[in-house]
Amino acid sequence: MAQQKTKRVPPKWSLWFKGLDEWLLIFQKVSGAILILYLLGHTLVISTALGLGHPSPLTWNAIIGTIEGPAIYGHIHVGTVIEYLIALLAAVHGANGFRLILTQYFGVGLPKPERHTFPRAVPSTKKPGQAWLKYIAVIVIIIFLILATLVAFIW
Amino acid sequence: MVMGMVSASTLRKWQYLLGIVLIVVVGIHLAFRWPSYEQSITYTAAISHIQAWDFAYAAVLYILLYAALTHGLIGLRTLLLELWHWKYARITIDVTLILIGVFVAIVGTIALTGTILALIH
Repeated sequence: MAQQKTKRVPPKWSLWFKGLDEWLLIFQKVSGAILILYLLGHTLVISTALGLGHPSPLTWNAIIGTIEGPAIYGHIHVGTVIEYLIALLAAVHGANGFRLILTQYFGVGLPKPERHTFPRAVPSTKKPGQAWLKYIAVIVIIIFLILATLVAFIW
Repeated sequence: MVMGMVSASTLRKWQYLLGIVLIVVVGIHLAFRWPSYEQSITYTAAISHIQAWDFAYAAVLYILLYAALTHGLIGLRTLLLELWHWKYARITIDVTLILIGVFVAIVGTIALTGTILALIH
């Protein structure tokens, strides 16, 4: 008997671009990709700035000074703005990721199964049971945004 | 599942577990920027951070390095496997990401361990 070849079929992308939940999942993937690229660069830069285990103020100041770039306004450098944006992205990724773990893995806020009664055969899946998790995530992000703005630009 | 491979559901569990760990350690790492980012990135501040809490913060940095690399690279692998479907996609992605991860982990470990040893002696 001839072996049947299995062919991997690409996802049907149109199914993804539907609602907020789908967009939040896409955001999680894109922000994750940006953050891992940043992490690789950040680790290599800080390791170099620490002289690969032989720390000296000279090496540190040279590397960090180059990475921070020119001053934009007062004590704020280009690097400050980039780090601020990355920290914000990490906060949104973390808050959204924690929400996804709670909903996808633990099923928090999922609607309870309902008895199928005639004539309403199929229970609605569009219940706002998980919306409160999104509101909590937004509140956490706003608090982080305020603190990060103070730390990066004001204090 | 091919022998020797980790099942997708196991990777997913690790991904979620490391995500929760990262919320804590990234939170601690960012808290060390307090009260001013510019002051926290000076050489004196960076060295005192590593020594903080009797080097317990250095332990946080080790956890952060390994957890973030593992979490990030598993996530990137999932994303790349969703986008690429050619014949050798899986083996190419796996080998490339493992090599990158091991390299960065070694560089980070050498830098951090060397700094800790230099500060102790």
